[in-house]
Amino acid sequence: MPALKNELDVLGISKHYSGVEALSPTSLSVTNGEFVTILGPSGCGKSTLLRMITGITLPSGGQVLLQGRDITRLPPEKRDIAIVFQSYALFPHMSVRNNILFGLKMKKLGKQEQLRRFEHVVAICGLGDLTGRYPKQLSGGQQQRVALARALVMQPALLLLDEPLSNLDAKLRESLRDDLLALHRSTGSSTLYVTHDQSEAMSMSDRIIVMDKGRVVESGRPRDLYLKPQKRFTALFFGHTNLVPVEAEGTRATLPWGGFLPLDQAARGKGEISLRPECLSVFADASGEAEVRQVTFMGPDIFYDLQIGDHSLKSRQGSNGAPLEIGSRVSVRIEGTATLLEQTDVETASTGPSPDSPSLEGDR
Amino acid sequence: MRRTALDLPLLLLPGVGFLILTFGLPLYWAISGSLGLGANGTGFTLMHLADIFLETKFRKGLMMSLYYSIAPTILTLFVAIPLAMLLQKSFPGRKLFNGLYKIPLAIPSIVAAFMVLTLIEQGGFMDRAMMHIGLSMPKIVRDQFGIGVILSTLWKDIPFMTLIIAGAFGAIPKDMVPAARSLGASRVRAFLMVELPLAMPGVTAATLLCFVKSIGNFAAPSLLGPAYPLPLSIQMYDAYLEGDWIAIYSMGTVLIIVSFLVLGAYYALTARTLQHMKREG
Repeated sequence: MPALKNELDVLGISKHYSGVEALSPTSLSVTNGEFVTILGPSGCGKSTLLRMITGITLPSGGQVLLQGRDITRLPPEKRDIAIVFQSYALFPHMSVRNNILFGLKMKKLGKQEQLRRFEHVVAICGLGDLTGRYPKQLSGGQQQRVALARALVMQPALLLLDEPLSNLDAKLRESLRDDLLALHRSTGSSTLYVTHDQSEAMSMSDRIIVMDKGRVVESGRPRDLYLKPQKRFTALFFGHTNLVPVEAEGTRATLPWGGFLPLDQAARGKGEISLRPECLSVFADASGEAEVRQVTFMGPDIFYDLQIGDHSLKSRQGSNGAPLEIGSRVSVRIEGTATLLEQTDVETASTGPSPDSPSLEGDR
Repeated sequence: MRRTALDLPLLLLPGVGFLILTFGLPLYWAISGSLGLGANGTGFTLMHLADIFLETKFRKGLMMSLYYSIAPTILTLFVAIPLAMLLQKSFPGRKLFNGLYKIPLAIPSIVAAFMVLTLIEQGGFMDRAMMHIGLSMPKIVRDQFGIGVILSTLWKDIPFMTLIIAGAFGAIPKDMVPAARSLGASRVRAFLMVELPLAMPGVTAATLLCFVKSIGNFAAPSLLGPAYPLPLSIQMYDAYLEGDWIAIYSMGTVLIIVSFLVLGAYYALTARTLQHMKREG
């Protein structure tokens, strides 16, 4: 039995669709008030996992515990879990007001309590003058807020968000992301968030679980996953990086173009490290080891494509200094320590099918 | 080119003119004929229409027409909706079933009526099969309740309605029911409060089409129905054989009026039920 302090415990849950594995046995937990994100490319099994936590899909194996209670076989309506879908799934034949009240009526709450909760979520989601409208009369951002209000009004033990921002344009996405985070801080609800967008995941989460091909790759705090990934997949999924082959000897890694880098953990033999472009500083130096091949101005940053011997590297610098010229010689300095990527990698270990396939088998 | 006020009517003439000629004019003749107007009319009177309600033969015929259309439509609804729901699920053999259930759609009503006849009449296939275990078929062909008529109408209507209603259920976005379920609605309540209201336009279309199709049904009642009372569709044909055009016009007009009344009642009923469910929900 896991400790009761966890809001959600998923224990070795798995899913097969007619013999094909969509999700390998997977475990995760969400503690009280925590914001946890499942991050992965489409088809990695994250939606299957979410559907099994809500009870829409029955798992082939494993257990789901909510506040220590086994809910694996409970139908969705008996679970104290609310979900916001990517499509919002607002009821088109009901007004905003009736959409939000739907769940409270199903739970047969008293009229007084219904009204109190309704007014509270309408206020915190900023829906004041929209309650009489129908979903098709709302913009995407407004629909998203109604879907959120409809879930929050239930005051669920766990709030699930399935890519709630991915149908919105970039600018709106950023402002709603901030709203969502502010809302999470004020309600303190335990939240499981699913996305394929690593910047969304990093900016919102207390903890990120990285998934690929029906398996958990690794999990940790956003900063650790970004700067010190254990797996090659994670290193590549979190944006630009330089994968550099090294020779480890104790806590010292020898770089292929000479020079050393301290390692977090002692190791021996050949390996690979992930160096983020912003960890590579470059200085104009006529006798430097690298040559600038390409300069890309991105606004706040400048990307330099560097060549050191046989190796191409990317460096990212603030754009306030004087830019380096293409063809100029530079010296490179690497800050911090590096972590050796694990050799066995799920990226090559599994040949799972697409778990987001629309098969309905096992659904209710 | 100069535009004149006549441009629009001229442009519309081919389409609207065709409709007026082929649909409007006969309808006008029928209605005016039933009112005693027109070529061989006797001057304006409501007597011909009143006859349909006053004369026993016609009144019972009208009741029979309504019975042959309303009863199978309601029965079909109760079979077609669960069937349409089932077709949304995946089960072994679903593809085969999905193809097979549509076969009756391709069979003409008269053929269907003969199939039902040979199958269920006394001395028919089922009767002879049941004889072996010492049973016999009850009289359900040309019986007073028109069970044979209802059966053959069902055989044609169930696939038709299922096809339309399955389309309506299939068009519901896939997250609707999971959303309702996670908000605390049981399977039944999610159906009543979310799926059914969203599929209602399709259900309505299917119901009305089935009803209108059956109220003018000719083949099944003439082959499988009791000899008395005859529905208006058959009586209209008999009147035609006798050259009684006034009776044809009157029965046709009454059938149209009654159809509109039934449709009106259906709309009022569903609107009220949906309103009620919304308030409850």
